[in-house]
Amino acid sequence: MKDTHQFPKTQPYIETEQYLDQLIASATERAIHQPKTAQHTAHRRLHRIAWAAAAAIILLIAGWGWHRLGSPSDPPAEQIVQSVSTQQGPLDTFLDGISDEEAAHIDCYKVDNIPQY
Amino acid sequence: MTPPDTDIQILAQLRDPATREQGFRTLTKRYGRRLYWHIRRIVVSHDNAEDALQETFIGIWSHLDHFRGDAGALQAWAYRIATREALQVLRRQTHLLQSIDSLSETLAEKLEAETSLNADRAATTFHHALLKLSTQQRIVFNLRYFDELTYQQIADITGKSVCTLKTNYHYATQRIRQYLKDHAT
Repeated sequence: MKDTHQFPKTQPYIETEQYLDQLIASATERAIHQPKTAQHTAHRRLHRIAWAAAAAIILLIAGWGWHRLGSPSDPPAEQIVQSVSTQQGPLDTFLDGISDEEAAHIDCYKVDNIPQY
Repeated sequence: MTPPDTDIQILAQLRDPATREQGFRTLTKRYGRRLYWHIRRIVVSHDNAEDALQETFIGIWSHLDHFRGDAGALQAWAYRIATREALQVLRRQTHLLQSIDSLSETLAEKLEAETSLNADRAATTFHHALLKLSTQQRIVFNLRYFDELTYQQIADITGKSVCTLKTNYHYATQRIRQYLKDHAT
């Protein structure tokens, strides 16, 4: 430590020796007469709550990410699109009934019997 | 009965249920001030230091049955509990995922607020320099410089190797020296 001998060793605080002796004595008695588990239980409970909250947040984020990326049991996107596109509504049925030749001459404004869908 | 003045005698009293309370009182009287200042140098705030000291004494008293070391390990054990309680105080001031090393500015403000008007300006500047260190470097430096513990004793407290501690101390003194040079009046 000979290279640090020039550093000051005094504390810049106001506590006197008498104050510290009193503080130590009262803290000692409080520790002896403290119910053994009360304060430590409270601290441990807080710790557990904090860690449970952190774990819940991580699980939420992981779950959200899992949902966004899609779970392995979900079918591939192309299959989903294909299944939607094979659903036939009334409009599709009507349009399927028009031939390409006819469609070339249809003016949409004149078509007035399109079934409601 | 003459009060014990060595850790061997204190430990003997602590191990005997009939004299446990007396042994504990002697232990806290023997190490109380050192533990207080060690904590204060970590947490800076007076109120926090008081709380951490109380928690330290409760921790020591509650876990006396778990202490399996010999008399030579008693001091390190007490310091270890005190260090842990002081670090707990700092952790409570941080947000989730925030490091306690990021509290340097907050602690510097507390130091300025709680410095005695009669304090030596050099001592205050020096303590500001200490707050620029990482928490680990600061603890190692404090234990070595203020408490004058050996590297082996500090290793017993912190669980770090002697080599790591020597490196910490070396870098800490370099940074302190640079800070004092930059802030010389």
